[in-house]
Amino acid sequence: MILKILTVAVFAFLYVPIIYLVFSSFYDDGFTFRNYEAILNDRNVTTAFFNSLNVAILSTLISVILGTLAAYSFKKRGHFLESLFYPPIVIPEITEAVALLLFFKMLEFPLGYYSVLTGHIAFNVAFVYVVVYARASSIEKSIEEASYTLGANEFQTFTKVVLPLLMPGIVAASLIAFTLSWDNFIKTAFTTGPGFNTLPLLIWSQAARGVVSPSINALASLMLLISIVLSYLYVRISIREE
Amino acid sequence: MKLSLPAIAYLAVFFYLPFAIVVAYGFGYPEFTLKHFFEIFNPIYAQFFLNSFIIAAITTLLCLLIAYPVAYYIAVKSKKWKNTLLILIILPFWISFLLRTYALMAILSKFDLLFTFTAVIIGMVYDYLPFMILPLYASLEKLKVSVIEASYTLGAKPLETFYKVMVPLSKPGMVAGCLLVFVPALGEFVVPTMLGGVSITTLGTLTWDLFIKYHNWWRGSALSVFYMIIVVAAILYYIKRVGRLEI
Amino acid sequence: MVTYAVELENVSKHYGSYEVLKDITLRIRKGEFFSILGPSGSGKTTIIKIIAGLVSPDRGCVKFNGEDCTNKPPYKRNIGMVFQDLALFPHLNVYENVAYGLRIRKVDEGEIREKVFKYLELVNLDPKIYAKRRINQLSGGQQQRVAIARALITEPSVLLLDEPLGALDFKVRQHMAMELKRIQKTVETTFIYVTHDQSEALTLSDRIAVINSGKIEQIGTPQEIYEKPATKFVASFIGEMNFISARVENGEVFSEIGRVRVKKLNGSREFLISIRPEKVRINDSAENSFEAVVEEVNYLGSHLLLKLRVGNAYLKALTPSSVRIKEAEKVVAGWNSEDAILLEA
Repeated sequence: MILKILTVAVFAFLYVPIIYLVFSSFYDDGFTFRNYEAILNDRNVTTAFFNSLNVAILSTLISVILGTLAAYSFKKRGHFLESLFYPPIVIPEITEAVALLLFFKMLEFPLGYYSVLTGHIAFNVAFVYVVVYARASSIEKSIEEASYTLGANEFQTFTKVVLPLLMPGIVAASLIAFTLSWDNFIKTAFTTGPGFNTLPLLIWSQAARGVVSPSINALASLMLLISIVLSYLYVRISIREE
Repeated sequence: MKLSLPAIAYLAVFFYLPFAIVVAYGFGYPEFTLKHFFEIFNPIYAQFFLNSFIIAAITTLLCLLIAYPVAYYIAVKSKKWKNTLLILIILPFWISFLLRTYALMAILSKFDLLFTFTAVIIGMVYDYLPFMILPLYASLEKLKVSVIEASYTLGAKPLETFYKVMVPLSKPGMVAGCLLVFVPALGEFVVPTMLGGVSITTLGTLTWDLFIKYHNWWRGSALSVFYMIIVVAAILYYIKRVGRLEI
Repeated sequence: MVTYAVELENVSKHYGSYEVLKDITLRIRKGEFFSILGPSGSGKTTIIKIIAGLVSPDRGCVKFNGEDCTNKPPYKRNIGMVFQDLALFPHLNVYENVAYGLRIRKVDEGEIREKVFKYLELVNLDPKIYAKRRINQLSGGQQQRVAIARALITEPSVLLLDEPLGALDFKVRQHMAMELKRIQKTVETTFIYVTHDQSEALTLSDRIAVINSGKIEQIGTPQEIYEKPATKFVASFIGEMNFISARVENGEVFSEIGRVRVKKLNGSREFLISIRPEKVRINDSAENSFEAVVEEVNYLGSHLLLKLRVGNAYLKALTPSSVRIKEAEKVVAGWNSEDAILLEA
């Protein structure tokens, strides 16, 4: 009984702020859409939105291709190089962020869209690798061998057998990669340059000063909605797989 | 093997090479000096480290105390609601710290708690709690109810059962959870800045200031290297303790 | 000149320092049901994978119809293979699994449909019921049939079967073995069948190669293997066998249970006399007879399996269960020299 009350209290603690945020985004002396109208008409917000979307989609696409190929190739033969994929997941983000900043500074690479994108791909590759690898290692070797004995070459076997079997893993990895990039704040903050803003940076520019504004509430609620939709899709896929 | 080369090359250039550069700057690139490491160990900085350590330690302890009964409840007691509760624990992983901290900020400002030490601790626990619950849940889930019942039938009282059966069996989860909370909490930047304001300087905020405000890349790098050493030590400790690294 | 369906010549294979296959030479005739029989770890799966091209040999060559194919990848060998775990494609339904090989060969849709139906019928799966089923909706025996149909549809020159019945229940297993025999008779394809089950090998095969620790012990028909085992390993691996060690002195043969008569000496001074339990005669005249005590009686239904003590040695004997024998009874046990096989010690 005490356990139950405590559990309920913890979930309340976790979710009340989020619910309050969404609630207050519709509130301004009564129920209103005004906060949402305000952000939709704000050029800064729409630009940042498309920047975020652009980086998230491209970094997902590239990291899914690189990570999937790597996961498939290591599944075939264990190798020490495989361990190179784990540090980007384990290491605290801020150290990776400063490393990337110095790297770009040293190369005198202009900070902005490309530097942000490059950084996002780096950690997404590792996450895609881990998720797809888990899936790839569940494919028995004999499945591929069966395809060879039926006359399919390596490429046909990859496209007709391996890829369809990897697909649930690839979709899950894409959702994770997209979310990580879409939400990313620290790495983006360190590697961005003048004029390239993403939605998390926009929220930060207000919130870091302790300002709670109705329009930021609306923006944060919208971002929340996207995160929840993505995680819902992820849960759906993992449940269907079981 | 060949197929993995693009990904490995990418990580080599955009992940491992940057770290090498940080180390190089830490040692005073283009010169070679240990000066920057001495700089970060002066008494003013020691205070910042202590702040970070205290915040991370309190956060870890609170998370463990709160998460254990919750994880136990989800793993062992709840039948009908198990999946729903699990989803509710996993959901915060999909929402960035920035958004979650922002959501909390709105509430804390209502209670006039903003920019206090308490606010920072609440924020840290709020953000890191799921990272403690999930590994604890995973190890408690494996623990069968019959094991606890067996302990009771052998004459152990509930408290004895907890110490002698549950704690040892859930140790891997506790170690994993504590590291998953403590290590990133040590370098946490978003929470102390948003909820602590300028009143609290930590490893994370210091790193930000050194790099973004003062462009002191050498001292910043030395700080980063120092933090990295703590991280690597923690990971090695975990591997030694639990035997493997599982993500 | 006879061309063989498959030939292995002096094939060797190492994994690290472990020698899996030592100088294997095999010639498999066209249309033959050929079994490779051996205990687990004997290297039999490696042989079949070398034939399939999934593993390449360190030395030696593999020929199909007289043509050297050692370096041909599996997908150019025109083979079919049924895997130990069946390896059905979990993302495809029954129809698509069977059609796979034809799709790869870009056969037109009408022909694919016709052939998928034909081969599903061949393996006794009603296409109308099963074509659209998912693989995980089938029983073990049905999955087996799908795997066979999938492997045969491309009309391979050789069908390789790697312990395909291993995962099945005993009853289904027996039934599927008979089905395999029927299918082989229908399609007249060369079957190469890997198994550790001697009774399966004996009932199904035209010829058997017995393999142990990477070496071929004997190749022959089931009768030859059973009745004239070439080595002690073959004699003990296939069926039950009594071994009595013996040596020759002054032209006479002394065994561990006394003087015996043998049919023909093979020249070596020390050897084993091997007698099948069913050849041991109880209370019946025989060239070599000894007093024995019945230590154990095991009732097998139609027969009794007896454990007899003769001096310090033991003999197993099989006798019809109509003969009444009790434990501790004294009997006379013996054999005729023509029923004994002399093997290298």
